[in-house]
Amino acid sequence: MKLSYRWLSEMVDLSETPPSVLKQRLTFHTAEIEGQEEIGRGLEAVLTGRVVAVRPHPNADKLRLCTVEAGGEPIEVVCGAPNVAEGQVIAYAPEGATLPGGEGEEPFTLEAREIRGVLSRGMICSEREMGLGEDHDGILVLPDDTPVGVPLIEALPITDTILEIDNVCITHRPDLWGHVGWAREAGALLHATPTFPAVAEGDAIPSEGEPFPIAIDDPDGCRRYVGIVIEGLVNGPSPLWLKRRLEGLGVRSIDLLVDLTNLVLLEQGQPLHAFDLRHVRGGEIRVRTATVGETMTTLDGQERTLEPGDLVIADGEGPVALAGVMGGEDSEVRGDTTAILLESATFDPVRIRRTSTRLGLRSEASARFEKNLDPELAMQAALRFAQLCLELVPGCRISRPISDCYPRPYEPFDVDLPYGMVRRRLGLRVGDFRIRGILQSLGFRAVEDGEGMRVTIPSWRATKDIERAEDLVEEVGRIEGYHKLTPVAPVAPMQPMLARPARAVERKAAAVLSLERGYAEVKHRSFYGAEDAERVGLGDVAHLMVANPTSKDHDRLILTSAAGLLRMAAGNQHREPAGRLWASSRVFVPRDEGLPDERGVLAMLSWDTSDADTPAGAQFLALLDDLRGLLARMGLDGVEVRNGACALAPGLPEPCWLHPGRQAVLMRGDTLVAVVGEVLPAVARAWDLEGRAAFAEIALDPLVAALDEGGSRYEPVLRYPVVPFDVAVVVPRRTPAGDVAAVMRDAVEGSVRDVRVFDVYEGEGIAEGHRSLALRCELYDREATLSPKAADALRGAITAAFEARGWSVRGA
Amino acid sequence: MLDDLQALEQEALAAAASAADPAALDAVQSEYVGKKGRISGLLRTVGQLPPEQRGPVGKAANLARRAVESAIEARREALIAEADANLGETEWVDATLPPPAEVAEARRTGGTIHPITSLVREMEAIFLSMGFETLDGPWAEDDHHNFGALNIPADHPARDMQDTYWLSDGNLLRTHTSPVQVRAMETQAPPIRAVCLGRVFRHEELDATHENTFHQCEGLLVDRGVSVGHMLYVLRTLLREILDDDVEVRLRPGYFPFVEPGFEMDVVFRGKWMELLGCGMVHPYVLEQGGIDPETYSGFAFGLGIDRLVMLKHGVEDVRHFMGGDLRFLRQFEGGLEG
Repeated sequence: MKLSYRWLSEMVDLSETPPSVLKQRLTFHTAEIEGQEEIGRGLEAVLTGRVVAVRPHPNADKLRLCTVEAGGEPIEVVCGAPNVAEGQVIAYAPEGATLPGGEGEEPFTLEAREIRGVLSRGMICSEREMGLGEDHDGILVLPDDTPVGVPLIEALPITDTILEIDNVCITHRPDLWGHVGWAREAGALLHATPTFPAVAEGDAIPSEGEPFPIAIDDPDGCRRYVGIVIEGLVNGPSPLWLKRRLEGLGVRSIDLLVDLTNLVLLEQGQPLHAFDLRHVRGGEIRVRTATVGETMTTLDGQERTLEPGDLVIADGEGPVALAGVMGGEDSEVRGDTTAILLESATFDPVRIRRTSTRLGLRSEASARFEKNLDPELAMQAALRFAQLCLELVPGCRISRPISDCYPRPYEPFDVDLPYGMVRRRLGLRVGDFRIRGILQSLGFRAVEDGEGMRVTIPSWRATKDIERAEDLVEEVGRIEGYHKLTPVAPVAPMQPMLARPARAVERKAAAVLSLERGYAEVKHRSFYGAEDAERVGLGDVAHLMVANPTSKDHDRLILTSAAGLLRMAAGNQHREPAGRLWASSRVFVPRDEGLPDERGVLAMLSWDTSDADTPAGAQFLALLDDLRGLLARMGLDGVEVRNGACALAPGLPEPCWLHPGRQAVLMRGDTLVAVVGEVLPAVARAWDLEGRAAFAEIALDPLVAALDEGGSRYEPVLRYPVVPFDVAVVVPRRTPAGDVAAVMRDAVEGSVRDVRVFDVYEGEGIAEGHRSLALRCELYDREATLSPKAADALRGAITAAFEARGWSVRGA
Repeated sequence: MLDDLQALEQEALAAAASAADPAALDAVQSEYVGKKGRISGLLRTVGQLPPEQRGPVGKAANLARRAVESAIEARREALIAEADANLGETEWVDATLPPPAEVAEARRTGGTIHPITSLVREMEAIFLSMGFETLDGPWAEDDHHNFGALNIPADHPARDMQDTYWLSDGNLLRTHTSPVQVRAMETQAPPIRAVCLGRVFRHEELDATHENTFHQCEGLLVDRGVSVGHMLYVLRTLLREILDDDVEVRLRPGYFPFVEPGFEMDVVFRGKWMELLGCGMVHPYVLEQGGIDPETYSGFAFGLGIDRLVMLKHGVEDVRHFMGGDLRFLRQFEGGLEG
């Protein structure tokens, strides 16, 4: 919404309020002014002048020599405009004047110069050269009665400041979509009484005869429809002031009748439509819903297929306008139009919004209707239009009584507002008298009633804008001024506040992974595309889809963090041959009803493009170690690693992006905590990721639940020395070292600690399909120093347990 | 000559077919068709032949070279496929073993915490210290929590303010953290003091100033007698903690359907007033939707863009860095590390 300062100043006294002050007042009390544009700046040197003579240029057919009187001596000017003529009052820029130029052009300074052998002193200006508009087909011709020889900007209302309102701020204020509403607002802020533009009244409106027949078949869609028939019109170019007013606000001038509908739109905020009366067939207008398959051609020449629910304006034969959205091609006013039916209606905001959204036709009109316009405004605006016609077109007249179909009239309603509520809600000291005064200045009727007021809501604030006391609190607060508020600390009972457990887990993850283990925390998107899904082997798996994706790469919600992290690794690998990333994110399992099953995951990825797999599985085992370190630091004990992998949670896919021989799950009892593995070489290749990479995903919920169990596994410190014991045992190649260690622990439970594998050997001396694991542990007795005999017994028990499983102890 | 060639080709094809690994295949390639390979060498001698033989021999040699090359490529692909198929066997690693020491040791440096995470933590710590609890909510939301309960019914023009990603199941990706307000009110009775810092989504084409994924901080306080003055205090305190000890703030009228009155809050940042967040008194309709009686209770709510604040604080030039994962970007925030 653009606001003309000059126009506003015609309705409310702004003599003490320059544009910069007004802008600030409105921003702090009404709505944000986003921008400001100056019109007619730099025209100070331009004078009004009269063309007293026009002669042909001796050396050029298209140029003329004009004698211009602009106060001083007559001046010779060469002019190329086709429309220059003797007697015209024009804008004359003398030599030395600097003109702003059109949009996107640099200002330029005039010098006396020879044009085809004739000295030209200055210039007769077009709109474009003065930065007033796009028109440069001819010079700007001023009204005949313009005084000559004075600065142009004094002779004519050309300079203006245009304020640009942030439209979002007035979504709920249908009354602020026209200048009149802003005049009311400014009046309240500046303690001035606005004067509103004149409307047709009295004798101008015939009382005899039949109004034009108008029927509303769909009162839900159309709350009011006012029709005025005006005859004896002469359509043509608009007067200069009207053109200037529209163009200053960014609206192109078309012809008088169209310009007047636009002027009233900008002034009153009410969209109007003028039908050429010749083309309203059957002499009637009907507002109805469209029928199935009905079509009509709109003003832009497009044929539109309508749907029931679309509101149409129909004459005796068919639709002539798409209500509130766009007029029809056949019935629009033309140059030879002499009689019109003016429509000023209040359409249902939801219906207009649906139709305009569906057809992609958002217009100045539809933008206003969807804000829920005041039905009283419809009559006001129609009469204003009629008044303008009467003033501007001598001989025209309103030829029939006004048609007014108003099935759902505005009924004034009251809202009770206790004074105390205003003060309590705002936290502001503001007196009863002031509260009442503010509301009255905005047009509310406020009558004292006990401890408060009974406030009557005026029609222009009564359409979904002001509905309850809280809405009135805002009115008082903003006019009084939010700068008067004092910060006050809320008082609350003391109670401990702890971070959410999931967030605490993320914090620990950052502490361990980012600070201890060298992982960079990243954030990856929650959606990806078919290509990335395919790369991790999930091309055929059902995802929750985005119905209106912005790109095919962002059209489905993720089922794993793997693709997101691999994409980042691939992007970094040329600068960072080895690296580690982690992320906290969520994956989404589609569900038939309700919200999708959304699961928090922590993901880790490491890569090394130079890793030629020596030692074998290094990326995998190192990542696994980081993962175990993370869980240990979090205080999660009793975690067991098992070879092989499965889905992280029900509904999630099997980790088909992991290497089948290098994958593991981390279990705590029966709870699956994490899935980890080397990235399948084929998957890494799909990302052009060289070397080897490893990936882990941790399910957040089980982790949080396990941590929540708490507990401590403290063991008293040993008081007697321990006896170290190393043993090498040959086991089938696929027997996990973890199982071997467990056998050792179980064999002498309570007497062995710190079991670890320190060497693995395969090859010469070891049977085919077997390997030798060297384990180290400490044997102890909690009650006494372990005697050599007792130590031997423990060693024997361990050896026996191994042999009982068919494992041979080397060197035994 | 042609016979030699044929024998050589057969020999090369056999060698390619029997190459057991990529290294052996590389050897075959260089022996026969590499720059100094035997078939390539033969091709070079064609020029010395009598003119009538040059054509047929040259052609045959070229054909032989191509046949060998494609046999090598085919074998290479077969080797890869074979290796891929047998990975579980050939590259099995026991996950219950410790990592090789030299690898584990080399991996301790280079970690960083994402700048958004750092600010989120800082803000959460401030809120916790002021007695706000931190909440979380689903990223995939329903229409009711994201719009309806927040006084944005279907076909309301305010829906234009928030371009939405809709999901195929009828839900949507939350466009703001405000649904968490509703969820908090549904599950708790006043007094409520809660914040939610989390991910939100907007239907946007990506460029340096537009992201489809970003982060917001939502705050809610509902109690008896809550006023705009209380809101002003809490927000000023927050901004003084995260920006500057004596930062100036101001309120302007703003429109958000879920608050009444609604405000925009500006702060002075590096000498300039800047629009920073939207806030207001929780709309009575929203309280009702959350099961709270607006006659008894009032509250305030606010929403703040975290990404924008990080961009302001650090002068980040392109919003896409946050979701981009470029280590050159992320490593610059090592200074902000804290556990």
